[in-house]
Amino acid sequence: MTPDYAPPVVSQLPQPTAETAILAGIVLLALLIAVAVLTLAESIYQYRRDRRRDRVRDDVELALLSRMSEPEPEWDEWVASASEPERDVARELLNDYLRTVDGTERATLVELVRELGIFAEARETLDGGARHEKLQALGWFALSGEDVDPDRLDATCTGGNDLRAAAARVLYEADHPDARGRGTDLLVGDGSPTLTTHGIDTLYRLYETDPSPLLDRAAAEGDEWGLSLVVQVLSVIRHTGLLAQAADWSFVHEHTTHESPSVRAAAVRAFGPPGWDPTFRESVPVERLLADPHRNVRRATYEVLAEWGDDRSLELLRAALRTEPDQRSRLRGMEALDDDQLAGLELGVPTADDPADGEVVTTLTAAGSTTETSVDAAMGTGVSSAAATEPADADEAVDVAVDAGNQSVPPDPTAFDRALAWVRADRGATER
Amino acid sequence: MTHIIVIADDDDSVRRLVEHKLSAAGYEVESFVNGSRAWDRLQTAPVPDLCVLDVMMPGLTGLQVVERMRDDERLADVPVIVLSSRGREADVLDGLESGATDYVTKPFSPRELLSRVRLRLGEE
Repeated sequence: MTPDYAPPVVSQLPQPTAETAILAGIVLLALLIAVAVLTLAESIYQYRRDRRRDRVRDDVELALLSRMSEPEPEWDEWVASASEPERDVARELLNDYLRTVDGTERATLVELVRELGIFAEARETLDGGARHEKLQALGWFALSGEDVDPDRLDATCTGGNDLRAAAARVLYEADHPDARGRGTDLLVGDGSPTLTTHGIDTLYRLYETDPSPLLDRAAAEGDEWGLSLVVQVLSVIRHTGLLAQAADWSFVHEHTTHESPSVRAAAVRAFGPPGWDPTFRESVPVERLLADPHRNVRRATYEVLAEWGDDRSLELLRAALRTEPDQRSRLRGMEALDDDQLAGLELGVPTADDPADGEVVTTLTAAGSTTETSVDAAMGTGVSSAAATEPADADEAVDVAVDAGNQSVPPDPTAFDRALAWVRADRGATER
Repeated sequence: MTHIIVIADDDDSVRRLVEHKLSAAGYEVESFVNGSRAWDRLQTAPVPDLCVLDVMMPGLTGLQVVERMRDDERLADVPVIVLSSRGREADVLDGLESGATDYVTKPFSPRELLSRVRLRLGEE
């Protein structure tokens, strides 16, 4: 009898019989048994394969280490006589030793990579493999310094910024004649909104000895790049910029007036390394940068002035640190100075009658709060919480709140001396 | 007389590579997986003729072992070649200022390492 509350559709479905239930149970049990058997078989297969490999590992390693130093290693004979487990172990060992060995022995190991057919497999994988398989294939090419046609890389390895970075690295490691051009095409070309860490490192290596072409390229194409990519390229320029004082720095100069403070700060930092050249230093609008409304840009300027270290830069820095409204930025500026430069800053003597520091510091998000609030606690500054408004990101919300707080508080004449004393005490503690 | 060389590196492949290369060249090689075990061995007789130490190892680093050796009269004159993946000028200076005799960056040429060992042992 159908209960009154049962919905009409359910009441019309055929009720399962006992036989059906038993059959379903048998099918399910059979499936479970099949899965268990397959899993067990796979485990046994893997175990036996690993045992076979372990038995031959020492002999294969001895063969590799012995032959790698020989002028004629005769890998073809060794590979022809090697069993499948031996060839598998050789692959694993090559992956290790190619990261460790340099020089003549490395070239010998690369011959073994070729003889094992790894390069041929890798090329096939580029044409039709899954993403992770392509990355492995590109890894073999990069480890071995094997040259790959850039057109092939363009056609097969642009499906993501990790593939692009790996492909660019292959060109770099192979010392391809057009590694810079084609490698940079892969890294910052269409559809690449940002670089992976590997990509940043590769871009740096491509321009390590001469960043001028990167500056030229940035000037020509930088307007099409997203903010993240611009900041990353500026960071690479900073690390390669030492020898580029005669290059076209228009891209960097233009971005010192960008609407994003992150971009402006990255542009400022790029001025650091070539600052040993007085002519270059004169081309940088330091006074304008010191007056930037955003503290991150001012901080970057302080770092660069300390890095330059000439008399005029230090004079500008000292004056700026005295009037800097943000205590953390002042600290960063002082921390950028070395001990001799720091000694040039005046040290006042704080007294017990010093007025309480009225600076309001916003409690930060978890990403930075511990360090910064502990600094504030050590400095004896007041800390208060402020609700973040609708930010582009959490950091921007903090910056808005902090800058608003700073502007509402009159400058504290003792804050400079307190910051200087703190930096000196911190350095003394570190040295001990 | 066969020279005794103590090597220490927590990387198995590097340790076996160096051990093989130096053994094949006729040296008696004693290898250890970290600086602590290498230091324990260095405090026993006989004093090795040379050490090859990785810089970054768990427990005692290679540079810490070198510093201890330089403070020990028995070991103060033993040449030490340090291996490191950190090749910046500051890292090299740190290594040499700690008392290391030579500094080899990874990846390295085994042939070049052997040549440096021979040089430090006065064989070249």
